[in-house]
Amino acid sequence: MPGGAAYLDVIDVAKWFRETPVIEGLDLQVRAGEFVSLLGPSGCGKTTLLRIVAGLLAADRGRVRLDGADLTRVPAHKRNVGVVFQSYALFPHLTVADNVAFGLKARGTPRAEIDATVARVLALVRLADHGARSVFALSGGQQQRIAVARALAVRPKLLLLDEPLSALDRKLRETMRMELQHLLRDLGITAIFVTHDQDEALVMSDRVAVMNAGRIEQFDTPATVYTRPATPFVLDFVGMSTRLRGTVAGVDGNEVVVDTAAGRVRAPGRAAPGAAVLVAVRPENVRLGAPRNGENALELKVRDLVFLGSKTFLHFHAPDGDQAVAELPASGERRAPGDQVTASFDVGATLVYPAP
Amino acid sequence: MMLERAAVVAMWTVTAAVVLTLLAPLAVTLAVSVSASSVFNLPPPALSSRWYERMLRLRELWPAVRLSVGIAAVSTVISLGLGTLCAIAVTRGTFPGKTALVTFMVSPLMMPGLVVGVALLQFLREIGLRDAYLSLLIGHVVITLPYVTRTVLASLSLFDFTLVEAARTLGCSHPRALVKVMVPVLAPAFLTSGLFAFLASMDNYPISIFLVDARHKTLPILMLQYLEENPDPTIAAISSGLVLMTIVVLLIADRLVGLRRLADF
Amino acid sequence: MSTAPASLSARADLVLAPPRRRLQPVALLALPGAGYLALAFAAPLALLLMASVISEGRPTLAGYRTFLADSFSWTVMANTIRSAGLITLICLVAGYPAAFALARAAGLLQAALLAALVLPLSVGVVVKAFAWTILLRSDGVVNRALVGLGAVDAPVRLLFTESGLVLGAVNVFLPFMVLPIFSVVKLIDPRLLDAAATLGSSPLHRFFRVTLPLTMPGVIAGVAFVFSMSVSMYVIPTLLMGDRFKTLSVLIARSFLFMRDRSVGSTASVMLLLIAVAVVVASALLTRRWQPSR
Repeated sequence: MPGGAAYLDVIDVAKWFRETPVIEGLDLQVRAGEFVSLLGPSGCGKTTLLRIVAGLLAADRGRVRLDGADLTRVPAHKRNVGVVFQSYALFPHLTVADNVAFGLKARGTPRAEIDATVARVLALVRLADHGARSVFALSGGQQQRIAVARALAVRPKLLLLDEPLSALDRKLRETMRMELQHLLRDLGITAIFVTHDQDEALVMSDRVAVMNAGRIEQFDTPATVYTRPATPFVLDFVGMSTRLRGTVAGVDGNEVVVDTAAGRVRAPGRAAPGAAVLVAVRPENVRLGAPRNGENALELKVRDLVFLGSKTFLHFHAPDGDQAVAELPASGERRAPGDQVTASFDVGATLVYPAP
Repeated sequence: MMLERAAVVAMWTVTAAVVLTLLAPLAVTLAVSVSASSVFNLPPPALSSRWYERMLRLRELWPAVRLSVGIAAVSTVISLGLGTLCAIAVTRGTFPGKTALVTFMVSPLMMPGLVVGVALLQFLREIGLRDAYLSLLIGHVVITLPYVTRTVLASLSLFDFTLVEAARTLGCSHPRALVKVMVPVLAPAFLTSGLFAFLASMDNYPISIFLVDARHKTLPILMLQYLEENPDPTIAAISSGLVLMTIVVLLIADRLVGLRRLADF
Repeated sequence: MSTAPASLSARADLVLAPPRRRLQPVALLALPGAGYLALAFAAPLALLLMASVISEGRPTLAGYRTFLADSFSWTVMANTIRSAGLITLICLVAGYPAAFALARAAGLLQAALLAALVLPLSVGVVVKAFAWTILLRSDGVVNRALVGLGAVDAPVRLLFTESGLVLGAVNVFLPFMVLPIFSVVKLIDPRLLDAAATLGSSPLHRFFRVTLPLTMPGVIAGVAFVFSMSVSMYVIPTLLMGDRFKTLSVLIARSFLFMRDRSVGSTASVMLLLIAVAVVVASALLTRRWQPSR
């Protein structure tokens, strides 16, 4: 792995809740200074993993190493792993400044240094003159920033964020995303960000770990996760795509030939003839019109149009369980439901998976 | 680590001691009530039900029980009404002095009963009210109202009033919506505060002593009198009866709302 | 909070002219309850206060002068406050951990603990105090336990002593300390403690800096209840101490119930009332200071 040894090393961690496995044999390696997202649906175990890394929960199996030290048996308050909670968990009985100073006071930091650090950190999140306020006087976005400031004040070795933006409205969320990213980058903090929002994960992270049912299905850069999803689950969870069932008709060199309900397609990959597979392609790779050299073609009928300002999505009729969607730029030709079209796309952009 | 463990052990030890001391008088009362001896010796030399039989034959006992239970029941019901209305006003209305109002409504709990009793007696005499039953009722509503106000207010302040608005959009008039939506949610608070209020009224001595007359004696007054005149385990039998009644009520309460709710005192 | 204009929330039987900005019909619901207490509780007390400063139609503080000049009065007040303070302190020290244990207990254990707290309230103070007279005898259970544990060499005299009184009173008032604290403890958000831990706060630090401050409103309520009840108690000292220990309540009862002279009783009543009011006001102020303002 490029970049040297792992800064955070999660090794074969497992956790059961009453006979049900929540996390199974999970490995994760994060580099120093990296911003990693844990992306997955509710119940996939991402928050559990976060709590295990923070020391708030003990794993049933496996180890956690941070910066060379084995933290598995170390209690949370000695780990120096910061957490920003989904509900912010600001102390209601303390002012904003006292909240931020809490960790420093717990470590017995001298008074002068506390004051200086608090001032500096509050300035970093642009809430410098809010120190004396009660936490209830803050808006949601401000509370979130104080929660981050509080965690950063003690210079944690690792920062964990549990869906910190989910309580904010859309515009604010987008602003905070960038702020948070810049802040953490400037400070060089290694961070793991738990979210179920794929946009967030793709926009903010150096690498994305897509989780499903207690396992990491793919851990790679956002670009790779998007263009080359490793499994049908990742394909579906991240971004939209056309997804059709088919049977392998034959193999041609490095490509397989697949028969689907909408036509015959070719895709790079290997499979046995007669195998049941899934064929997929991202909507932005789909073009309306006759296929050119090296392109697949499908005959589809338009079902819905979804107008999103800068682009329009065309959803097509497809057999039960399948889906077909194409993305058209705003300047593209107008289509209507019921239109019969030919959808063409690069063979190289076509993905194929064994049918689950 | 060690300190934390020691603290937990200390916590449970103290709790065990608390439970023991709380149940000790109950155990004593029960033991004495079934003792064959009329001297209060523990452990009882022999068992007998004679005190229970005596209790059933005690002439002044049953009027006192009826009076106490009646006063407690009626004053609790009145307080439930007045207290709930007040709690609604505080949670839903905006007016100055809410904290002062709530403090005022809860304050009778913390006022010396004897003083309130004396004051009320003199006041009622001034306005010419001599009826003992009515006087007792007036005094006991003062006793029970704080319990209800405090508990119902705590419960209401956690209540989501948009549920009432939802009911109104579905066709209920405002009062009907309040009743249909709030009452089930408030039922545990009613039960808890009702139980505490009832027990407080049944048990009250300081206010009642000034408002009773020769023909109207409440149970605690009768019991203290009995204790001073001819102490024998009959009063232990009476108390055991009360304890049994409360156990039944607690079982019903647990079935209806769960014993946990009782802690919202 | 409510988006409906004030006129929509008017009850059908409370039709008013278009409401002014400040006065809403719903606020009037407080009137029956508050009015009742004003008439049946505040007015009589006010009259009592007034009567205590009027003698033979003229305002006078003579009653107070006599009362406060008498050293016996001071002994009585000291007794009252001292015993109440001791009772409150013991209830706090014992009740605080018990409230936490109650919050940590689950299911059946919690239900059993709650029952243990509530059931004694049904026994009645008369019989409970009487049961304590049995327990506190020289050959009673308490003495037998003390000797058995080796804490004392010979049975200690507990009956008709202040120690016995405190013990009996603590027993009666404990639920009123435990329950208010418990109701606050169970509301503490466990994530706050998680957050504190991740910031480097050890379990001890967490307790003193997060848990304890957050339980203060409950502690204040419990202390206020128990102290005011202890200051006012009558049946318990009567049964456990008889005439030997004079508290203000005992003085008041004797004055009004058994003696001809009411003036002492009136003055003592007002003194006791003042103490109680001071407790109420102090607890209200302290609660405001400790309650995280919303």
